[in-house]
Amino acid sequence: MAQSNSNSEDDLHLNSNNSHDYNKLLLDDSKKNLDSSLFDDSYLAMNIRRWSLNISNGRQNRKLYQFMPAKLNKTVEDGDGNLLSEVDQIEQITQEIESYDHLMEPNYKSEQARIETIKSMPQNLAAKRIIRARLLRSINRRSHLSNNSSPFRNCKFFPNLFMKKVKTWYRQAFKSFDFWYGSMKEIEGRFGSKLGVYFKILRYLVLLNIFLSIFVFSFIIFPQILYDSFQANNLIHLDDNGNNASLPSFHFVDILTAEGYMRSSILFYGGYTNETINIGNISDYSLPYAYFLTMTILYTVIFIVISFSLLRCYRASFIEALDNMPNLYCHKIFCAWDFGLQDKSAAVLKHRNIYRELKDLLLTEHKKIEDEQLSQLTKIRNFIIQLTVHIIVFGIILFIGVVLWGLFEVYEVNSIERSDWKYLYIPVVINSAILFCSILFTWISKAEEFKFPRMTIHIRLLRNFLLEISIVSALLVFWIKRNNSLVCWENVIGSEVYRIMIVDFFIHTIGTCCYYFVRYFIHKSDPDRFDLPEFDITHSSLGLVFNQFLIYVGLPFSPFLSVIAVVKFILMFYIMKLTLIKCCKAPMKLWKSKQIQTFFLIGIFTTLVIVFVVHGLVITKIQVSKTCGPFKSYENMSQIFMEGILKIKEGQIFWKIFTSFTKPAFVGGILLTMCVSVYYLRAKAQAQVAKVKLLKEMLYLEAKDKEFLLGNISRLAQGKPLSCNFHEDEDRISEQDNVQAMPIDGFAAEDWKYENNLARNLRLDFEHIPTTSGYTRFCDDEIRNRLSRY
Amino acid sequence: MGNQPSQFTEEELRDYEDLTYFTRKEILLAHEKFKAISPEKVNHNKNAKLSMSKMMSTPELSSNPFADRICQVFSSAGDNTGDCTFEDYLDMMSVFSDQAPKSVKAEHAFRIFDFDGDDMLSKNDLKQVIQRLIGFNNQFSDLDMEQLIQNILEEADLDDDGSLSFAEFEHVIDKSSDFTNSFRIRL
Repeated sequence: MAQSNSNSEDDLHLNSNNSHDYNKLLLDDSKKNLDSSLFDDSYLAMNIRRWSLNISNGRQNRKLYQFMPAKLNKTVEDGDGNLLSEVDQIEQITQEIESYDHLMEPNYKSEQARIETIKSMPQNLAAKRIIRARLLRSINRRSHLSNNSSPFRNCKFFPNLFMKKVKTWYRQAFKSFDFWYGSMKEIEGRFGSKLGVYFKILRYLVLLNIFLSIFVFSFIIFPQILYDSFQANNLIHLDDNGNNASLPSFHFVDILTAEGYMRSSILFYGGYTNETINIGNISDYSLPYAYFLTMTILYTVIFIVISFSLLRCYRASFIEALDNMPNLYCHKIFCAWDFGLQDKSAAVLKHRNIYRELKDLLLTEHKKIEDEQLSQLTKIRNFIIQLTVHIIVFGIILFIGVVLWGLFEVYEVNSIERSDWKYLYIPVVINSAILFCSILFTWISKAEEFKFPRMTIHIRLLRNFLLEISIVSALLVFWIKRNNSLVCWENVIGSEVYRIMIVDFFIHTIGTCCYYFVRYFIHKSDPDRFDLPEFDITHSSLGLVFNQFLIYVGLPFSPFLSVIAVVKFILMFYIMKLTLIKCCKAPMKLWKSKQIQTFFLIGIFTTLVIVFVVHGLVITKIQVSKTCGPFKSYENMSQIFMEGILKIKEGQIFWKIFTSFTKPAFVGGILLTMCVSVYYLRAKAQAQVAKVKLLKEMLYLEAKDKEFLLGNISRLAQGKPLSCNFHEDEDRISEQDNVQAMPIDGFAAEDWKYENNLARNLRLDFEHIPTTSGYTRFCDDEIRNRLSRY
Repeated sequence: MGNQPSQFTEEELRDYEDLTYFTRKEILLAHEKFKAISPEKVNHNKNAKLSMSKMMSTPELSSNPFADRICQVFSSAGDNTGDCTFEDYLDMMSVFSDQAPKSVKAEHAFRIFDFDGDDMLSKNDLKQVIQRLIGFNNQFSDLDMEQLIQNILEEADLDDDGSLSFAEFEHVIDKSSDFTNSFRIRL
């Protein structure tokens, strides 16, 4: 059975090749006509071809709504296949636009739509200008005729007009010459836009933190500075035991450790007063309210901003480009060249990369078939390896958390003297652990054999991320648990976060920079043996996420952190740029730039959510320090909101309602509802995907059908009989049909394959054809219908 | 550029703002860049026509394998020499800018890749595109090239006529999140 099957398949293949060649000949013929676009004798074939294209590609539809006749500039043909002159083209386009009423109304909205339409046409500027002038004339004529112009007709478009003005202003001010425009251009010109993504994320974070700093500075820090300058004489400093003490003198090491002099400065929570500042008897400014409200509003705004950028990014990279993978080759060809590249050597490198990638792709294509036949044993082996690695990694993360906890206990703040380098031990350990683990995880992930390289990167990212979260949560939990024994636990957390950020700058930024420079000099000494280092975009971006995480955690305890972050990120930008340009080369393999961006936004978003939970707990449940900070007269931070702002006293009915919101059962209920709704939406989306897939298949069949018929028509038109080839094919098909008329679903797909081979030599990916019985029946019917036609 | 008298009238600038994706500042910057290509010519006539070789010497295009095609596509001369006036240059930069929507970019990309200008990406066009992408120092064997083209057509050629029409091309581009990023030249 198998033998005969393959035989007949070969036969058929051969045969269909014939018909295919014939068809190709025909097509080539018509293309020649088209190329020369001269007056040959076979207009008909050509016209039919064009018609077929129009139908099967929906060209006409496209024209209807997009006004983008691609070929207008060069290959517009009228009915007889003559090239249209440019003037005629303009005429044609003008008429086409004129037939759309919503574009031809004499009001602002339609004017905007008209301008957008003209903008998007692939004509040169002179032509666009003429088209616009003509349209304007005809609109004036129309409105003159209809004569309904009232001076108020544009009134309802004022909001639109206003928005448009604001938008243009915004673009003029910020977008067109944005931050570091020259640097970004240089980086993208030398290394391509994918590497530019890292710097884009960095720039985004700088902007975000500048925004934070401006608000924090103007509403919290500046009033405090004013207050301090008024109260300069009776400034009180409390030492750790709550007694008055003189301000300690300043040491250099304090900048790094944030202890000693810095500890009681406005750098941290404890440096802020709980009093109402009275400025020249004109107005009162309550710092606790300002502190609470500024922080709450800032966090909310950041949450919204990040959610929206995440959504936009996610949409662009995952939803709109959903079935990206099937178009692997097209993607590799049509989106391969980075048009922003401006450097000769970068271009040579890019050429080589593309060449290698395509070569790899072709190789894996051949290998894929072997891979699919991986033995069960190897599969089990891979699974065991992966499982072990997962367990080991979790073990490492847990171990680091435990070690940290131990270190915290050993180096508890009270046991160390002021202005001591010992404060830096823990931050150094934390940062080295992160660096070391990052290298280790990269190394480990090479040992695991995941099916897709993308998965390797995802898992690597996830592990690093978990590590960072576990470290920060160990830190938070340790100090928050000691909120009763410490004098000012908020300060301790603030300074700990501050130190980690400072040390991170030295270890990660300066360290990576040195590493690259060393590699560069090694390369210089022996260029043949040692290659230039590749810039590790994943590692560097992870560092950014970690930093942003620290800022979110530390901001309420140290308002100054945002300003420090801005300075740090700006320094990082220049250091990284220098390192990159001086001594790195672009990585060989990069992900899609949108996807990188999305992943890091996801990272930043997740950390923000975690921080929300933590701060929520801190605000509602944890007792604030009694001796320092703006909230020292309250039990916990939420009290200021309840009593100060909403004016609700404990025991009132609203109080009860509010407190019941924070009950675990309530929160759990909300989470459960959210999960259910997510599940529902997901199921809906999946159903939609399945539907789209089915519709696509059907569309495909339709297209086949039309092609087939059109082929026949063109044969007829050329005066040839309905090619004898076809009858032969048909006979074969019916033979095949008889042989395989078995009640097995799979065979219907086989039949369909023959049918397709007949029409054109087409290789279909049969894995993608759903084999539900309804669908195969559909195929079956289709084939039977077609056969009955002959 | 602010103080020195502009070569453009107010009306011309507004015109350009309406017809391209640029703001006023960007238009002036584009003109500065255009002037830098050939200062004496452009000083004489702000909309001077510069030859294709001159256009291709700009840093933006000098290392681009499709530079000649870009010039030809955007040239308004209509004689395939690829000579560009300032308006053509402005048009080019506007399409390659961040603000231009994907569909407009796809349209022009299609025309750039369409070497013989028959409004279809035939196998020959694809071959040229691939050859230009991998550079002329690298070579694919005929078999590999054939395989590559076959794979592309398999993915994208929905109506199975052996070449890609614009609709098919746009369909592929639509699914690619990276296209807007790669088909971009910073001014």
